[in-house]
Amino acid sequence: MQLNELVRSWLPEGGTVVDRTGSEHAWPPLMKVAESAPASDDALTAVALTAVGDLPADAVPGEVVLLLLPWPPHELPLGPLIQALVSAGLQATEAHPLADTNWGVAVICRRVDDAVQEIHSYLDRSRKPGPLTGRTLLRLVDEHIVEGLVRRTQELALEAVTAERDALRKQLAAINTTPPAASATEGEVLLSSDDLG
Amino acid sequence: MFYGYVGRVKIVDQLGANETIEHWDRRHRQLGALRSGGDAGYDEFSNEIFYAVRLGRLLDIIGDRTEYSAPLRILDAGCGKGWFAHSMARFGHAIDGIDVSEHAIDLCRANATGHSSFHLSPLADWQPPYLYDVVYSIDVLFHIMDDALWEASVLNLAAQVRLGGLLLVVDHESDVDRTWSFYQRTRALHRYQSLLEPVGLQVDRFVPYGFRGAPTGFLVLQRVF
Repeated sequence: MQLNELVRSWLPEGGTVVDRTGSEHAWPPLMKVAESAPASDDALTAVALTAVGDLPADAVPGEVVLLLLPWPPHELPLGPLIQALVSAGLQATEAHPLADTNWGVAVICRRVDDAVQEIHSYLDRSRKPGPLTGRTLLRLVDEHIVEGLVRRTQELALEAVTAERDALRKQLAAINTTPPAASATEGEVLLSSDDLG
Repeated sequence: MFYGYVGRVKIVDQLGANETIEHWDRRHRQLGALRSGGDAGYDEFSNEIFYAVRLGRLLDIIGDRTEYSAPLRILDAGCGKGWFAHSMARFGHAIDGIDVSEHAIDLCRANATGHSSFHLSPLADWQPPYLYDVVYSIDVLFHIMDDALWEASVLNLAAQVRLGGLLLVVDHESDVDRTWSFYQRTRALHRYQSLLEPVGLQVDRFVPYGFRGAPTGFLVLQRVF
């Protein structure tokens, strides 16, 4: 996804990007760019990180933060990043690889209140939070635990399949590069396709 | 007991599970690309519009966000020859399509593009080792005549939806069940609601097709626990 495409899909025309990236990025022309703005659905605060420790701790409840991360998605420092998000009271609502910037990943977060009794659903365009209590919380934990098991075992299964494939490729390459004479046993007559008429 | 007719000839009782599979495989082999899985009462051109209208409604619900390198995972339950599924793949989503027609699935595989895979499976039996962001079933559930199988199918599709994800089922906007023919039985929307709310799916809205006055549309449910 392109960065400005993501911003345009989040903010209405005339919305405000609070630019704290320190970059020269050209935000979408129909957006206002400011140094500060009240927390609202018509504004988001863009922050670029060079290290997880740069994650802002001063977001106010309700504020939407666009985190721009320097890593490609498959190399995210997952543990420190999640720990920093939780410490800052930020709930990630969506995350995307970026195709057109030096930042590898964009994470859109919302600063939630410290009681954390609401969850912002990632497919809900109305962006109304639902309750994060009772069975919703249970579901979240259960998905996390069981999906984690499947992911870990799938990684091992994929490694096994890849190793098997590589071994077969090596065998095939060895067969294809072996001179015909070398594979004949003593006294055996080798026929070429020409000999077969 | 209801009986179906071809002209004036009484033919069969309501289709059973195996007869439904045979019916749809035969229909996919015999009818055109769109009529076979669409509305056989319309010609191919009207079906083109019918498919396009439904795709538009579907996009209104799923949204226009896409990310090919980190796609949404979507299940097309009862994909037929794959018109909607191929569209989803072209939009950059990762789509699984399942159907009971071997012929339809063969065609889906032959025309597959992007992140897509197709499997021969009844709706009640599909259980992959991952969850979906969106599960949809377009004009399929009202062709399941047996109530127990319908219920098992709906519950199994619901079980594949992750927290915050969407389940989209298509039926008539009606308060009563009704059997229309030997292969069409619509269920009241409250049947879905009473079946699915206890397992964490909350009704969000009904989105009518709005095509030629048909009472059909998407019942949109979101997993809230």
